[in-house]
Amino acid sequence: MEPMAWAALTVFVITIIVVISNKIDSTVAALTGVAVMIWIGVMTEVDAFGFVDWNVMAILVSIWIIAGYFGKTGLPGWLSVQALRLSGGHPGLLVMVLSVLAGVISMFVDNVVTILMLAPVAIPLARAMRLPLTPVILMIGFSANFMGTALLLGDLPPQMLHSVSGAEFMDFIWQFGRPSSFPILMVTFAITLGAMYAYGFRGKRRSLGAAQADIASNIPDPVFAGIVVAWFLLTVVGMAFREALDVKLGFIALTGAVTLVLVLELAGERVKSPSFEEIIQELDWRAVFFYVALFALVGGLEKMKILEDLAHLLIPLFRENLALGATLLYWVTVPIVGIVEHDAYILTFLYTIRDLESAGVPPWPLWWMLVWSGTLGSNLTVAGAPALYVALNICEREESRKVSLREFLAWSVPFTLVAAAVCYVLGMLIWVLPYVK
Amino acid sequence: MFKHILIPTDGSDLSRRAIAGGVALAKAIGARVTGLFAAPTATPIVYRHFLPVGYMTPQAHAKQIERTAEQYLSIIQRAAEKARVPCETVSVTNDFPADAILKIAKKRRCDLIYMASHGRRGVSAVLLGSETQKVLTHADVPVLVHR
Repeated sequence: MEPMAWAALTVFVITIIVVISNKIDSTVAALTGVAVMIWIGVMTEVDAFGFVDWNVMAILVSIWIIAGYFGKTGLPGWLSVQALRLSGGHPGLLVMVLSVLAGVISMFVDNVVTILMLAPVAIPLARAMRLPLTPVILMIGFSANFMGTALLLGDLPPQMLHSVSGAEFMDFIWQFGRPSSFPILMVTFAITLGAMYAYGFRGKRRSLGAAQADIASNIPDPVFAGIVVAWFLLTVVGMAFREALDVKLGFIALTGAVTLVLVLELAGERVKSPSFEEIIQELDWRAVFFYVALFALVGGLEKMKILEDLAHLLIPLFRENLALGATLLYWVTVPIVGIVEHDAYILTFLYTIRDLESAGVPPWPLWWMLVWSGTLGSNLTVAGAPALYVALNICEREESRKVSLREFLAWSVPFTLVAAAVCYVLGMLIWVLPYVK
Repeated sequence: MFKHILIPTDGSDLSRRAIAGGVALAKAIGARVTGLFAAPTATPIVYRHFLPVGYMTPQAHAKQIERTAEQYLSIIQRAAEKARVPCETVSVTNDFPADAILKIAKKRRCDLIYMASHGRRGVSAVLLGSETQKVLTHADVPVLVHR
């Protein structure tokens, strides 16, 4: 490798170590890494700007804006009370229904936002049922993190896959004549929840009706809620028909967000909606800038052809035995993303797998196995996913105590192991073995 | 002089001796005592120190922890009754005993913490650290260490 390539790799590795160690704010560390790469000449500032996938950033910010309004409609609270009714007042079933709700919402909404939406209603429900809060909130966190990858909208990894591979919205449901992310993760999710119920939530305890739970189930302004839900659905449908519309996904999402803001602003006092300023302030700007920096950092590696070199190293493994290669990729990824921030890892390997294609290695089995293992594995510890960090903070604040690592692992390890094992079997059967020559 | 002594217990022989010492001190100076047990969380996995050693449902685990807490705290209760020292006991869920001790000392306005010098020995003491040491470092009130 050229000296400049070594320099780029060194900056990248140091930046990732600083991000993982959490000694400095991860966004500041990542942006500093980009600045260092520019100053030492790995890339120009114009290159760095160009490496950022602004389409993905537009999807992210736009969906967060719409989700921000959704969180203020009162619908999460209403849905939680429906969850209580559906569970028949049985604590264990309620946790499962709340987990499903978190999973479904997180397919469209950012994982952190999903937890922030559901926690305020899940906490009084859990207290009323005398359930310990930590497992309930952690289950919501795991589920939100898990299902974010099922569709294109819920999390950054599927959006990065769209950016690198061109996967469309519908490809996440059905691709090349076989089920892909959504059905496979849905089956995995159902089996995992069943296993978790048997593991830690079975057993009859006292039952509770919705009236006893004292949870507000009313939607303050049905017109506002109706507008937001309609816009959310329209935006999702628009994104599903991206190829027909022939514009970028980010543009469709941005159009949805901007027109929603416009409609609500024009409606004025007629709807009880939060101001646009409030929604914008609540956006996770640290995460936005972190993702911008991440694209630029990985772009620096790409420019130095480091990812191409890595792909060359991996070619024999994947070309000679795709099943073994996919298995190794999957099971090496699970523990790694459990302890390091998973977005950087996934983005790096998405590019690496793309470079394998020229050597005759089919990329899709590896892309899917990477994205699934990268998401499911990130539930292992708090370090793997910001959503779990938020969930843990809520648990500690509400219970006025620190949650120990062993308590966290008692819930995260079984969840991750069952999910990863089930998804591995399905992924191999549906996506890897059919491609083995 | 001290009016309210906090006596934490982990059920070990050493903490039983500390209980006897703490109650005797309370009797001598006319103080009351609060006995404390920091219970582990009722997870399906049962841990010994940091190692998983078994599985039970969280409900069964919670009941077992409750029984253990009652057993350990009753030792303090009985010692105090025998010495005619006013006593109350408290059990909290916390995997970090030092945190629980400091919090309860503050919440109950205890003016002395009377505790055993160590509960853990060997490798676990090195890995997990001494709770007494943590209490000594962070306590706002005097700490008397029983050896």
